[in-house]
Amino acid sequence: MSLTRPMPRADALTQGFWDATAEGRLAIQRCAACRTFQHPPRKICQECGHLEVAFENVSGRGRLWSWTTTHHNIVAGFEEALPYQCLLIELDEQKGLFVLSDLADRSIEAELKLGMKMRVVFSEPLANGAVLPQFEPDGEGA
Amino acid sequence: MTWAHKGKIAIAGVGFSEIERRTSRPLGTHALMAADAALADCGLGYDDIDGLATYPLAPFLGALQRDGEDVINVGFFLSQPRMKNVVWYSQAGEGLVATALRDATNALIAGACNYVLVWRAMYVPPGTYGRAAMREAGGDQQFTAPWGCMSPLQWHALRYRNYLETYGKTREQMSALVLNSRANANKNPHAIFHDRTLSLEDYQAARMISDPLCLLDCDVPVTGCVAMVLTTAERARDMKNKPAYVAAIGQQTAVHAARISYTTFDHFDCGKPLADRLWRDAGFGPRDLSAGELYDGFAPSTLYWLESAGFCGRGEALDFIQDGRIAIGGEMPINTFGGSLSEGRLHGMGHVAEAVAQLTDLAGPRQIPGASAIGVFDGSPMLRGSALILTRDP
Ligand SMILES: [Zn+2]
Repeated sequence: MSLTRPMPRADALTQGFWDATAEGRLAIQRCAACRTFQHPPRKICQECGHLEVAFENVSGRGRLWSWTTTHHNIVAGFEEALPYQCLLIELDEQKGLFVLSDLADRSIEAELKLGMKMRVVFSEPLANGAVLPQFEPDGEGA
Repeated sequence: MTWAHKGKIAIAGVGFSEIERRTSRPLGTHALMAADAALADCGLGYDDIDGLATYPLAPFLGALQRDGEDVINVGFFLSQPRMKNVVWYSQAGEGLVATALRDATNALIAGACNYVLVWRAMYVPPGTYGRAAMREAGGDQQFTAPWGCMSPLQWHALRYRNYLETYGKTREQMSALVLNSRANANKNPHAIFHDRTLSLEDYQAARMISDPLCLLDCDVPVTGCVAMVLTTAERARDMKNKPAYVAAIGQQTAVHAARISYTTFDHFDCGKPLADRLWRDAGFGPRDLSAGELYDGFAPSTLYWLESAGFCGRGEALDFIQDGRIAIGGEMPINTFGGSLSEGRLHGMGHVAEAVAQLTDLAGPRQIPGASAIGVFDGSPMLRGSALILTRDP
């Protein structure tokens, strides 16, 4: 199966996210004033308007909020990977804090259950060096 | 206490262009066809129109958003030589076309103008479209595209799976809504599937697009335009045809900060405050309606409105739609014209047009005798949806 993913193009706002994944960390933007996490990153805190928002390491643990198996050719590069799955993970740090991802090991698709515990793992670098967070079941107490 | 302006604004004319799957006609031609028809329906000319309102966005990946080609902006009608008396316009960027209807209603109440043309034009590009081809993804897309997630249908599929699992329902139950819509479309001459019936076997065999959404859970893209003329009830009384009256109209304002997708918000929390305002303004509730026209760009949106607007309880919509309850002649007819699923993706304007047709006895073989009040809920509750209640009498 050959899969050519669109590669993330980091910018001033998102560089911290990709710097972290390259080092094997998941970091999410957090407001210095009200301590709210937000993703995708924004220039200011969407909760309180504070200007000081910085990337902060998170546990990389969360719950599987949902998943979908896409059979339709929507994103070029995924043709040969059809059908493929997208996961929506609600991170433990905050209700409503979601990251979109996929499974590190596609062979366990059938084991997916709503609300199951998941933990982050990291992909091999893409051609531009970007490392993607992916997820796997969190064995301890899943 | 009901809304002070209840029944003071009316939809006096409705016009359709031809609704087509693939067309060689420019979208501008469709827009003029619809405007001509709406004006003829209420006996007005272009020079009577002094207000314009639309929600123009072309909702597919790769859209050009070029006026007259894949969108019809306010500028398109302003530039028509016959349109020489316009003094007010509004081009909505949030909500859907119901936001434009709300703007028109407000302008008429304020006396800013007397006759507003409101339209929604939709376009299907030739060939393959709606596919993202990119080597790199910037902006917010860098957090979704690398995993192959780019389309609203994938986000809706994610939301729908969460819904089904949370409430212990199955996607097979959705066939009741999809088949009901097709049966109604078979009685609707504007519907793209007017001549094509659908069976339970067809639904069960439908190709999966993004599980749990199958092809028949997604609306059918069309090129076409629907236009309407809004005016005051006072003026509408003396016009050519009977109008429908606006009993209440409102917008969803419950969602605040953006998330990775609007579909992750709770439908009930988003839609209920809007619905509660509408019922208060109209002075009645969902059980008093003759029908509901509930947006179905993706079929689950209809479920979300059924629950958040109070037609049934939280998590009950897939049970509610069974056993003929939502058929014409049933306890609560839903999407009596076929919805976007079977009439075509007119982005909510088909829903409004059907409410007007039912309330003015123009719905032909799908007419609900004496229909007195219809609720139109546009968009999805989580997507800053808008809604209006229309009535036969002011
Ligand atoms: Zn803050």
